[in-house]
Amino acid sequence: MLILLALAITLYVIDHPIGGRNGGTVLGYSYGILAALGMAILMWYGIRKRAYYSAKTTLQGCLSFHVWLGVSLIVLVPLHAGLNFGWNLHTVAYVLMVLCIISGIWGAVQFSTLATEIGGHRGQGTTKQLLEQLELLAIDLARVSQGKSEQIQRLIKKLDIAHSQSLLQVFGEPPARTVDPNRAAACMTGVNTTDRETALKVIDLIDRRMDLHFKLNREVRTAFWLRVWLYFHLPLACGAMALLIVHVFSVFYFL
Amino acid sequence: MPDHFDIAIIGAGPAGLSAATRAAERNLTHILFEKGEVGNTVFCYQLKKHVMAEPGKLPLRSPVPFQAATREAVLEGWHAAISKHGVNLRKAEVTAINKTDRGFEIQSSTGVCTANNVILAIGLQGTPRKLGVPGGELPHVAYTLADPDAFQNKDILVVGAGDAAIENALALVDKNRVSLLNRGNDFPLAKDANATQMLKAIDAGKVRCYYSSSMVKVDAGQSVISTPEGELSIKCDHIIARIGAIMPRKFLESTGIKFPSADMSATPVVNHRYESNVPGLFILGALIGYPLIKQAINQGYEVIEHITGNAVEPADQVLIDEKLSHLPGKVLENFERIRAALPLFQPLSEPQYRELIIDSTVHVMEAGTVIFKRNDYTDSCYSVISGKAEIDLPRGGTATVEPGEYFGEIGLLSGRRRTATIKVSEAAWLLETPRKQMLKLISSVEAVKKAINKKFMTNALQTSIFPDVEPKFIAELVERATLRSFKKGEVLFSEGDIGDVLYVVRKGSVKISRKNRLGAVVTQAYLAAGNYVGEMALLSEEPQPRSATVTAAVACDTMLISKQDLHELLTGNPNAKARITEIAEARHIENLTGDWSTQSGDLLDFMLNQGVSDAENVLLIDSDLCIGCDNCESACAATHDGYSRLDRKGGKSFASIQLPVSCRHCENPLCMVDCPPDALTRRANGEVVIQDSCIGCGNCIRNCPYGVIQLIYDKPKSRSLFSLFKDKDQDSGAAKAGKCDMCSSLSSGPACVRSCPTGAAMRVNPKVLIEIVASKQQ
Repeated sequence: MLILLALAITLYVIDHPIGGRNGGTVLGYSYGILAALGMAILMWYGIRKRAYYSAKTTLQGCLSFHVWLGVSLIVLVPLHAGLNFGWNLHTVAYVLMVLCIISGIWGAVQFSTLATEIGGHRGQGTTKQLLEQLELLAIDLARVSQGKSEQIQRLIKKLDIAHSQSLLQVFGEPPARTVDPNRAAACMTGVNTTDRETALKVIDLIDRRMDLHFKLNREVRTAFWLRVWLYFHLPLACGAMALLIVHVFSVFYFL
Repeated sequence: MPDHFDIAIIGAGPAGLSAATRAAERNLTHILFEKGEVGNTVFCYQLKKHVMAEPGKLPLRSPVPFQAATREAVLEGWHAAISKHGVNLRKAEVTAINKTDRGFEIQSSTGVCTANNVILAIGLQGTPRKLGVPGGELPHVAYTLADPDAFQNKDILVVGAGDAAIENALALVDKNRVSLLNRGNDFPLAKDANATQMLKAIDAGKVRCYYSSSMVKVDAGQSVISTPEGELSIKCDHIIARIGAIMPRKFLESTGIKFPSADMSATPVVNHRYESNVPGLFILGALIGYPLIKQAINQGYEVIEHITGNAVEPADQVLIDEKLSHLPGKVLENFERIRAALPLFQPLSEPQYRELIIDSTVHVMEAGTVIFKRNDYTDSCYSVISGKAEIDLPRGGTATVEPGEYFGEIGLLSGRRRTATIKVSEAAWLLETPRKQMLKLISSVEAVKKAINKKFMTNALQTSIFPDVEPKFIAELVERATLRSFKKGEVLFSEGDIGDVLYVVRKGSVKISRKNRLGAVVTQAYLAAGNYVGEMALLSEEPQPRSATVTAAVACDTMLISKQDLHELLTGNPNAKARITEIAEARHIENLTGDWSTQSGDLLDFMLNQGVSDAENVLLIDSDLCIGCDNCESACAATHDGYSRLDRKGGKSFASIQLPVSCRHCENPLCMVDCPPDALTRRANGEVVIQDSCIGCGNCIRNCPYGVIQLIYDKPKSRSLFSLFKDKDQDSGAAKAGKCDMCSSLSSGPACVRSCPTGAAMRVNPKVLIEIVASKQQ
């Protein structure tokens, strides 16, 4: 792909058409056709991905081609236009395409850096299992503290986490992974000698809950960043494709 | 003067019912005894259970109707036949049958009668073992469980620790409070999967299990049990006792019927007219090894024809004609010729031999044809009827198989790949017998079992431990060898024991572990079937302690050779002794430099626990590459009726390699062990596939230790737009078992692997897996 790209640039540099470099020269048309074809092939990946009976190519190969083809279009399209940009529809089409490609690159980077974070991979349990464990711990906590003194209840109120399955947890600081020892010690000071054993048990349970909560949060975060780019990538791709059609149509209509 | 009949039939199951209706049709005086319900085994099925009509090709000829249908429809058909033909049915239990000068005298709970001929068709299910304690006959004590849904919010005590007890208890557990009474401390009689499920249920507090306990007394609503802590009175609304069935051997023997061996699974021998060694006493159905309803119904018809002197061809003759139709000459002559040529099958009774021919295939092969190749995964057994075959020995050279001999028994017993390539050297007729049929013969015909075992042991010794040693010496050793089975996890011997026995692993695999310097037990290697352990201790003159602990990784069959026997034989044979010592020493050194030192203990343990050691092909996911897109699952679902056969999120990980829940295509597939229609088969390349004949009984699901098989119901609706315009899929109603078939119908290989966009999913042989994991660890 790189060689082809280099070749395209070299040809572009040697080519000195009459009337300056633009989309209407022989090379301009050629690059335009190539780029349009490229975009069609990029869109076709969505179909290929779901062609589960396909035998001729592997999906891995197709994805690799998809990525490099996309990246090369960033260069090929300006060559097609003779580096002429302006406040017009044609440039908007290019910008949409570039945004789409950038979102794809962003996604690829997310995949290569975040994929190893998926807890299920590490044998730490799937999100569902983690949630179940979290609930089990809450039940244990309730059982241990049931009928105990006011101080224990207060301790729980102070230290325990409230877990909600909201999307908001993706943003902001990740939750603490363990009970802050200083806070735990501070809470312990007021506890009666008879309740100290229970209090320690409670802290232990809360600590385990926090660890799970941390893991869950990481799961949700990872899943979010692994998916969110697609919500940009696909609409942008469709938009770019639509504008490409408008671009081709308008260029020939107003010839 | 007691009533006299031409024929007395005992047992109104399919065979007895068919005989009685045919007798009625032929205007013979008859009586049909039944102590329970008509078709009692079917009657005791769970409500609405689908009754199968196998084998499909066998024609049905009897006045008794039968086709695959629900339990209720089948029973209704049978009742209708009884009233239509005027069968003389007597609800009574037969207590004794005595031979007299005029025929037989039959004592029953309603009196005595006499008959010229007696037909025994009592099946095997009629005599469940009873509790045998005071109150054991109370109405709330049951020996079957027809409808688990009939019980809700009850205290139920299930007695027993076998599969039936566990399955019943688990079926009841969701809606009731279930306790289990177990005489032992474990569930050794149950299938592994059942035992595991039970232990899980006990751990989760769903089932209360009383170990080492027994029943003392049953009262209404309350029972007394004996536990290690003393007697205990527990509340129970119902008791379900599943403590086994008894082969009515004593009763059969009291009538004069002889059994071929003392083996518990032995069945009485009958001739082609179903007549036992007592003239005039006929035996049908499950008692003589025919568990299928259709076979039993046909036998009932045939036996009446034989008694009336009408030498009718058995119903399966059409199947035999079809089987042998491609051979030159008359079917009957070929039928007899094959039997005469094969000494192995000569001890078979007529019905057994017929079944053998129906299930087997006769191949006519030209010289040079390859029968199977080394490392193929086929598992049938071949007998040479005429011509010759040639074995390419793995160590070079060839051996000839003469007419009358057989080969392929190693794959048969161990479930392993073929150990050698065999081809036809002189135009030959070969009888190919499927594994299941051979195993059936091995378990029911003592002579076949002995012959095959002997051959297997000789082969195993020759190929693995004593090559180039005189055959006579090996034959003597085999004569003295014994067989022993081990359950998964059972220890063959422990490090430090004084060794006096060598074990040849005949089936399954073992793991070898040793203590390291810190005292931790480290798994060092695993050995599959065909290998042996413990030879060093055996060959030295001095008593030698075992250098490692050997544990069964899966259920194993082993062959034992004792030190004493070997030394006795070797004293008269210095050449053999020198040779054997030489081989053992060479092997010892090989072991030191081989797998032992390079493989990490943790990795081996992980692989053994995940069943990889027993696998032929595993799906693995490299978690460094997996992006969790689930395209593998989508691909699997799209290519397999809308249901994914793999669970990407499940399974365990090791060194960033995840083994998702997906079929491992085991070398000894436990799923294949107990499949009633024999729908699970293995292809030549090792794939284990489920065929369409699956009846959805769920046995394989329970037997699979890795949870990779699921019941698949009717197709989910397609989500494609076009489905709006198509006819709606009809609900097929029946569920079938489904699992990974390695996409054998796709030329491109597994869809999950091909659809992985990052190349994280791979399907590989365990050896490759070890390499991948080892490289990840570094």
